[in-house]
Amino acid sequence: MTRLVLRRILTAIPLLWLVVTLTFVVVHAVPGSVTDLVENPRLNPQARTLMRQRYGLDEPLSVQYVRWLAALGRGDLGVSFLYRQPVRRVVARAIPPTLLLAGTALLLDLGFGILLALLAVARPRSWFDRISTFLSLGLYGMPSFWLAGLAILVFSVGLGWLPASHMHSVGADVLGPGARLVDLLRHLILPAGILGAVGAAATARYLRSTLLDIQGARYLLAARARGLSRRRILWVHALRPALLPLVTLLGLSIPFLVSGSLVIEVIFAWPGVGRVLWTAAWARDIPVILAVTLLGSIAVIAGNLLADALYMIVDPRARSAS
Amino acid sequence: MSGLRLPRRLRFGAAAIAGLLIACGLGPFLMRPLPGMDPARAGLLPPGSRATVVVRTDGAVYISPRVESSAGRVVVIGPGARRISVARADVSRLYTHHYWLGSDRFGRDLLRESLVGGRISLAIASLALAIALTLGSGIGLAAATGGKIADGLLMRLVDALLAFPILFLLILAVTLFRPGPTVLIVVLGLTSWMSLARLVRGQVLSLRQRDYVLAARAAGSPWWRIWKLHYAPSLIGPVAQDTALRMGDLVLAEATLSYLGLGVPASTPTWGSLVAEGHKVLVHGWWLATFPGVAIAVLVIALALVGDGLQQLVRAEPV
Repeated sequence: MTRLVLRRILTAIPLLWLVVTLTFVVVHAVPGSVTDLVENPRLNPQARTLMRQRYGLDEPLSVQYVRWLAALGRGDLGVSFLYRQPVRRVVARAIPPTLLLAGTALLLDLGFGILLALLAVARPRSWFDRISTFLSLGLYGMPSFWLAGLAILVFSVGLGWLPASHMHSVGADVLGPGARLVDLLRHLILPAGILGAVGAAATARYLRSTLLDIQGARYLLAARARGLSRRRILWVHALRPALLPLVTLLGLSIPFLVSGSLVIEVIFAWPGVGRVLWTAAWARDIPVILAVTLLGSIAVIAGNLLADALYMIVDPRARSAS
Repeated sequence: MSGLRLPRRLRFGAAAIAGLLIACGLGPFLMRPLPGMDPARAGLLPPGSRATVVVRTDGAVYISPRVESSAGRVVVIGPGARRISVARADVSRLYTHHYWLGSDRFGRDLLRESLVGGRISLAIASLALAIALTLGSGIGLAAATGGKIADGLLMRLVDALLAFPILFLLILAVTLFRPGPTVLIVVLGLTSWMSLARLVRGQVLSLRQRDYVLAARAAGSPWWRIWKLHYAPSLIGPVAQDTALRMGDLVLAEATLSYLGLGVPASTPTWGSLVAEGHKVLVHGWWLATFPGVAIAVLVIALALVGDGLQQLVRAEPV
């Protein structure tokens, strides 16, 4: 298995190269550059040329590409045009908020998704099943930005319970550690709740249909014949094989959480990776765009790899096949 | 065909989609367009309100739920109890308009805007879907039948594109190029064909191994006959199911991009941009963001129901 993982990591390198090269070409091919966006009337053509020289944008694309790739090889991501700081620092600052948001959402997603599906399948066609199926289908169809607006309207504007944006309140620095944590959690509830609810709906929908498919399996009938309780059969015997495809789904949902949180991060002004990309794309901050794309692709590939590895741990058949 | 009974959710979903299509297609033609008016004079009207439209001979338009008319004058009571008095002789048209879903801050009818917006959203998603279907099935078939090298190259391309976090890619592409419907269609189409290509390739590769296909080939059936009789019938179910779900994804993606201001120009309504407009005045008019969002949800849910129903059909089919 170690060999397999190593091989997969090695094959991921050309893939990453392809992704960043594609991005590099696209970002440089489109008209407009960071120097056009600086709206300073005193910036005459000479100053713009000087600016292009300083950013290294005046050189042939091939030279820029080779230089960028060489720097990347040394682990140097360049300097952001917009923030005038090392890209590494800009991106690194944005990772913890995204991890916090996406991680909380993932926990909610899996926890509620699995629980809802199990409770629904325990009594198929019961009222609980119907309501949860209806709700998860509804949540699946609702756009997350729309839900976000609705949640802000109800919980922030209407009831005034929760803050509508940002990660900390103004002046939270002076609070004690406990109060700071409470403040952070209060800011986290709405964005993480929405991301988690949408994810949980998809998970529950998927798991419910898988569990119902398994219901007819003979080994479950055999378990029943051996006198095991219905609950034990559902929670132990049926759940385990049903979780297998969920593992794959989980690996695939990691990129979704990274990029899916972009909209939520933008709406809630959450200082994460998605919002950094959003700002960078508008400002043509090429080094940051490239770095975030690279990071996103690594997340996707790592997610897939993780899913495959987990799959092998959970499913003995896949282990022997490799 | 006597044994064919469509699953209930398939019929239900298809009916909902047909209803939306008809409403968006015909609705704007059946409704009387309101004359444009000065946003400063307009007020938000909640759903179900009735308002009187007063058009002056010089073209100025006043819309207000409260209009008093006396012998020689018409008095329009605007927002903030402002009274505008118009002489009877100067009124060219005067009629009542029902705002079933309320009005926006420009005095436009949300129902009409939603129907027009739906038409644009649906058009963009359908055209993008057409691109994705063509590319997906074409590349899937090419990979399955074009030999080892083509297969390897095409599938690596699919891997690379799937390794992009897709929303990053969409946002990147739309911000870098100038936002507009064409860019939106092309970008959405170019980024949503990969899983279909994988599906088609896998299906064709597995079908090729089937005994009945081998038998047909051994019996000397020409390739087009094998495609028509053996491949196409087995491909159509999974592809149709994938298409239904893909369409839902595309509608959501289009709405998301329009919401973020990356779609069509702001003057053209789409469901996503209507929600965005509504969020700007969220506190004053809850209905503006709500109804277009409900429309998106209904369409996506209906498409999911159709997808589920098709899956049920495909699975019920004896293989």
